[in-house]
Amino acid sequence: MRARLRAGDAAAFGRLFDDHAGAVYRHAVRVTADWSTAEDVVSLTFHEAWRLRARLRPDGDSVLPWLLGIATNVLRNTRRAARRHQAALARLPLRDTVPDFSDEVVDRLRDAEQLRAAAAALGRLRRGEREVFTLCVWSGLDYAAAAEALGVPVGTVRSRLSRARTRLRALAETELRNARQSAPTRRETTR
Amino acid sequence: MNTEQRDELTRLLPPPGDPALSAARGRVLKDAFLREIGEPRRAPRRMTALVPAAAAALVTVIVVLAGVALRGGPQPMPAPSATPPPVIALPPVHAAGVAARADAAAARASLPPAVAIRADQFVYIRSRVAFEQTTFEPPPADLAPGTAYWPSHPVIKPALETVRIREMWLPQRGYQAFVHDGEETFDVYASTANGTYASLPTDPAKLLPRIYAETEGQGPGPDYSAFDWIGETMRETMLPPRTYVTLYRTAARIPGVVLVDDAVDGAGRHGIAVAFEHLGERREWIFDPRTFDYLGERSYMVEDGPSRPAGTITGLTAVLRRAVVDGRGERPR
Repeated sequence: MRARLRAGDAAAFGRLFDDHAGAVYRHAVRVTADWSTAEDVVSLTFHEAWRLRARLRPDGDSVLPWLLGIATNVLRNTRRAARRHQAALARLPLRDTVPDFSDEVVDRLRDAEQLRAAAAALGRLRRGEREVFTLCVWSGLDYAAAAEALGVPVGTVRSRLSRARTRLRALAETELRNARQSAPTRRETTR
Repeated sequence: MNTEQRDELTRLLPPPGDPALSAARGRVLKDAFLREIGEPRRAPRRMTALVPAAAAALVTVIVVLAGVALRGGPQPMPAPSATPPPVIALPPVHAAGVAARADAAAARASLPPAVAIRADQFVYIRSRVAFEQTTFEPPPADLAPGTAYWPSHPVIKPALETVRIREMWLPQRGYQAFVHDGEETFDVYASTANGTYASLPTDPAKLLPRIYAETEGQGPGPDYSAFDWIGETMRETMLPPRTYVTLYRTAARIPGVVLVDDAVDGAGRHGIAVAFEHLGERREWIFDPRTFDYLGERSYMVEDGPSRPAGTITGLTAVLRRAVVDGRGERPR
């Protein structure tokens, strides 16, 4: 598979899309809290993967860490990637409007709220910590895979995750304190 | 990371949902992608014939690179050791008239001569780095999965991460950087080549809007991200001497940035710093007061926290050497 991808085999890239577009999309939606941006990120990620295919290491197991690493770079600077693949994006068929099934609309609204809350909380971390958090915790990569995706040593992944945890804990503490002050009767529910 | 640790981290943020790409939309995106890569427009037929050859060439390159030998120069410091975080007395800062004060300091700079770097060369940056790490007590065993866990007495044991030597080989042009960090050696995709920074505007009034535009939407806020961008730009690069002055003056124009007259880097060198606070932590970018060379970074808590008093160091770095070399893995003499 890696050899075929590196050689620019279009069928292998089709297979790559089938296997991993869903994971890239999920990652992008969670980071951006925006469905249509996430679709652009999926497109840009696969175009970047095609452009950078020769840099894929010839050996290894799943190529998902490599792909999520590219997605992370795209998310860091969507505009730069978009500039590079502008023509391709412009030719993308327009997104359909949400079908008029009321259940689906309600789901979407609820999901949107949930996503925004998660993305806002995530936004309080530094970029490096955020990237490690989303890859390791939400996308389920292990330390080594996240290190491969981000091009940093395993020790860095570990320490960034530790810093993210420190920060999130501190924020949780503050929120808990504030909640206690403003609504003492809800103390138990915050736990 | 084990399941327990992942569960704990998951609980520290609101649930991220499980957004799925619909089959129909996935097909549309896939078809569009395959159309693009299948029909390289204006690409003559021979291009496709060249692809396997190019790929083969790269295999060779990668094999060679994997065997890059570190040669010349001093060896990195062996046997790193973890240390408890030092606690410093909070230094006084200037929070008013920051831009004017920074400009006055910059006007006294005496810059070293610029070094010429060829497009095929690498810049070598040797640093001493250490960042905070913490450990936690696990959540109670009877906690139902998915429950938010806000401990009333979190046990946070701060420690300064292993102090280690990090070496970076950043290409003047291109993407393939190479790093030797502690005991690890690895390739890095460098999203910005060193040469890219040579063309930064020298006028802070022109540079600052560009930084805001480039960092838009990143991090906890625009000012934080702009300050962060300036640190990233100096950390493992070799910039024209004038550019460090520009970056110092530009940082001083970011709302919330303060000046520190006496900051100490990870090698014990004293310098002047621009600093920015976020969530009770202050980060300083430290400069040589005469040459404006970027010396390193120091960060510490400025507020007393549950587990760390104000003044606890959370990060400490020092750039020990900057040089131009001809090859990856090659150390300067």
